[in-house]
Amino acid sequence: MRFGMLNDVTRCTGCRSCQVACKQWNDRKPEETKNLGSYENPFSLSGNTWKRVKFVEKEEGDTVKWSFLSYQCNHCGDAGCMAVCPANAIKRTKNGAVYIDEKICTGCKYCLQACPFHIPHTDEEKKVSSKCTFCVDRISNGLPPACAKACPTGAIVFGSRDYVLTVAKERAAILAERGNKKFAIYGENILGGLGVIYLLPDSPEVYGLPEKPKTPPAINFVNVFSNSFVSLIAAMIITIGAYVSFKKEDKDAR
Amino acid sequence: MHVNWGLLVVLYLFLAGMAGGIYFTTAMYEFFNKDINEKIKKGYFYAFVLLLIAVFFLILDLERPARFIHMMFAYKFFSPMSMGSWGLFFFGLNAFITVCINSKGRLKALGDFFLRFLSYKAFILVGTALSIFLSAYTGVLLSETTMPLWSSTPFLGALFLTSGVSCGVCLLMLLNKDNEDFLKRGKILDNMCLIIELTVILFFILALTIGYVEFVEVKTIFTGLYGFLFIGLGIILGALIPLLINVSGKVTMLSPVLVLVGAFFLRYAIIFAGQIR
Repeated sequence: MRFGMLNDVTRCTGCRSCQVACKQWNDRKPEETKNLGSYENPFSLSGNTWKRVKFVEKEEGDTVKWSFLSYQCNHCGDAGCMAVCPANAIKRTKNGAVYIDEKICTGCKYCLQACPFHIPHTDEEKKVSSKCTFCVDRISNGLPPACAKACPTGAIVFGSRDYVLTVAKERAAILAERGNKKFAIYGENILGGLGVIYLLPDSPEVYGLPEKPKTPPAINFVNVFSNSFVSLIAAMIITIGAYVSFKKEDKDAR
Repeated sequence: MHVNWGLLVVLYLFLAGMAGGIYFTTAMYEFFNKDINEKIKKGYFYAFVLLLIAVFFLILDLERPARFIHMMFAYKFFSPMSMGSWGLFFFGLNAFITVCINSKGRLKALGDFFLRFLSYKAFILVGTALSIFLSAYTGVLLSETTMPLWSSTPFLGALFLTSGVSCGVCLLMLLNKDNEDFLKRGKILDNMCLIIELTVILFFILALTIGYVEFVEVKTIFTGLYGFLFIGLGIILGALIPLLINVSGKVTMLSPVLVLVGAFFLRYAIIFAGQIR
């Protein structure tokens, strides 16, 4: 059974208990951060911060809407990081959790470049890539991830992916009843279906989520083939060029 | 600005591309021109040494060098980095064998041992194919990411290949300054490489500016510091001016030096500008 998680922006109060619970359970170190004029802290994920709450301010006429997006690795169905990893250090459990095996990771940072959500970061101490594991140690023992357990408002829902989608749709129906026309359920079908589904009261780009994240290229094949094909043509022309340049002329041969 | 791939990766891409280029040039000269002398044949040795230096920078970038070995326990056809690590290994092995065969003393005996399995020509042919792969894969590697500048066009592989071969020709010219015949022929090949490189760059720029990617996502390569490095040093100083010098008829050592400098900054600009979000 594939597990899923719902991050419901409409219920998130920005208390950051998920952020703290993640740090505690996964033994992630604290980081020194700077106040950049917002209550948001920290401002980005890192090798030691696998989960964070993004504070989103959106002006609508004379009012400002303040909402909170709790986010982490999305455990994509077609995970770009996993596809490009040259050492097979990124693995998927049968429950759908995508995690990095720190003992195998070479620290090449290729996964950092391949993730459409820019989730993996380098653990500067261990010099390996690092990201949310979906609390693989907890879920394999029948427990919900630490962030879901800590959430006091029900904004984070954990269960089978089908169950989570059902909850998302039920809550979306309530939003629709209340007249919200912009809401979106993000992650149902993109990239092979995300393991983490988002219920957004506004369009994904308001929350910095790509509307149509690129299919991980390693699965798409298009980039490899098109680049290799053009390179092959160039190689053939250069080889002909080398023949023209270097060939021994007949008169020299004589 | 924080970048995940920095100067060490740029140096790796530059040196690995040049290693492939110098092996290719030497092998092509040996195939098509029987007048190859020992000094030009040293191109195989330079390719091997350049590769070792390139791999040193790559492993240094990993910060935990022993981890590199894990790439040798995996094989993924559609992960250019996985294919590249195997390509590096086999190219290095082939270059070493070629050096052994062309050397004297104990290494020569080792080279003779390898010749029991394959003919010399076969080793060179395989090495040539691997050298093309090595120079091109560095560009294909970048295209397998979600960075718009790297992944929006199919031209980076060809660009790095032509630039790598051009660097190989130029380095071999600089190391054989006294061989007029080679300089003359090398200049012709370099001209062809530069013309192809400029054509590929033109397509690359067109694809970025009028293609299917939003300009704002790739404008870093055309503006500011990286714009200067890419257009000013990479294209004009590193390709256009050397081509004009070569076409003017003079055989001068300035042109190969400019090509090498330009190729480095071309990669520098592409790597750094590509990572700005």
